[in-house]
Amino acid sequence: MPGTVLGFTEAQIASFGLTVGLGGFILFMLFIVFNLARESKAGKFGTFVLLLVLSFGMLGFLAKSVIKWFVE
Amino acid sequence: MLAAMNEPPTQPQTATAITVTAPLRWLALGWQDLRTNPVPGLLHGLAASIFGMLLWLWAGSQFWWLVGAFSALPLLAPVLLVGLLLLSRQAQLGQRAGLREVLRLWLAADARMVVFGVLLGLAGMAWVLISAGLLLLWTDQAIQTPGDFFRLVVLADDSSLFVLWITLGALLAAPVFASSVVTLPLLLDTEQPLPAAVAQSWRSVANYPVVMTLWALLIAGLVAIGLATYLLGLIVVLPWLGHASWHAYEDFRRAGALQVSAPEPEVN
Repeated sequence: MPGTVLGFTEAQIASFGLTVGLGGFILFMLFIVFNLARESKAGKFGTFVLLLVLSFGMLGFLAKSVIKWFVE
Repeated sequence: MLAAMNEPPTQPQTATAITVTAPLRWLALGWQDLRTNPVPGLLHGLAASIFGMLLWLWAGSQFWWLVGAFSALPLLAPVLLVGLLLLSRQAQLGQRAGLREVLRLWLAADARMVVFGVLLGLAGMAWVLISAGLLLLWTDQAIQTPGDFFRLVVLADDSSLFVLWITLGALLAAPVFASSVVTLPLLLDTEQPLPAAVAQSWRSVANYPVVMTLWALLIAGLVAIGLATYLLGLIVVLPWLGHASWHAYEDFRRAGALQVSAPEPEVN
């Protein structure tokens, strides 16, 4: 079929890329946060606070973008 | 009442490893409890949802009342959900409990739980004041209605205020979550004093930071969905989380992460 790669359209590939890529990026960010907490010797509770605050901030930012995209 | 609740569980105790997937297992077990005995749980959720809707109708244009109530909801929910913990506990003991047992628990008015509820309420109030101060300082326009908040904070092109607001919320939520995540089931299941139960809850969070972060995010996400569906989702989400919280406690207890019996007296 013309205009496709392995039977997938450009829109489908972009959609897969966005879903998998974004998920992977979030996991990578969480790994960075976890590593940061470990290397800074934040302690066990400090690790929890860092993970919670940064992941909340990150997911909040993501949620804001999604809401804005829906509304606009 | 409490003495009756302190019967030892009759089911065989098998230690379960607490891994990052544990919160999903707690949700699955909580869902199972809700399906087995749905009426009392759904009535809890319905009551919370109706309360929220009435508040919305009454205070729809008085934004700070709404912010206060909805910010305090996740903090106060553990106290409201103590009945759900009881239902899950009794189910685990092979007993089917209903609203009568929940009512008896509430009427017993365990002083430890009352004090804990008041402390959570104060934390909720602190968040409202911090949140109000931040928004007033940052925006030069008055925020009177939920629409104003949505327009000036959520839909603003500059994301810094929203991210700062949510990060501050998480910073306050961290110690509140750590103080409460296994405290209520511990108070229900044992006769430990409140400070000891809170200390054990903090230790559980410190020992399993990744698992507990995931659990906190799942709770926040599900409550957000409940709120976003015009509060209708709360009818299912609140009892689901309440039952799941019991299974979280059970996992920690079985893993030996919690001390549930009184310490042995020292013999000289």
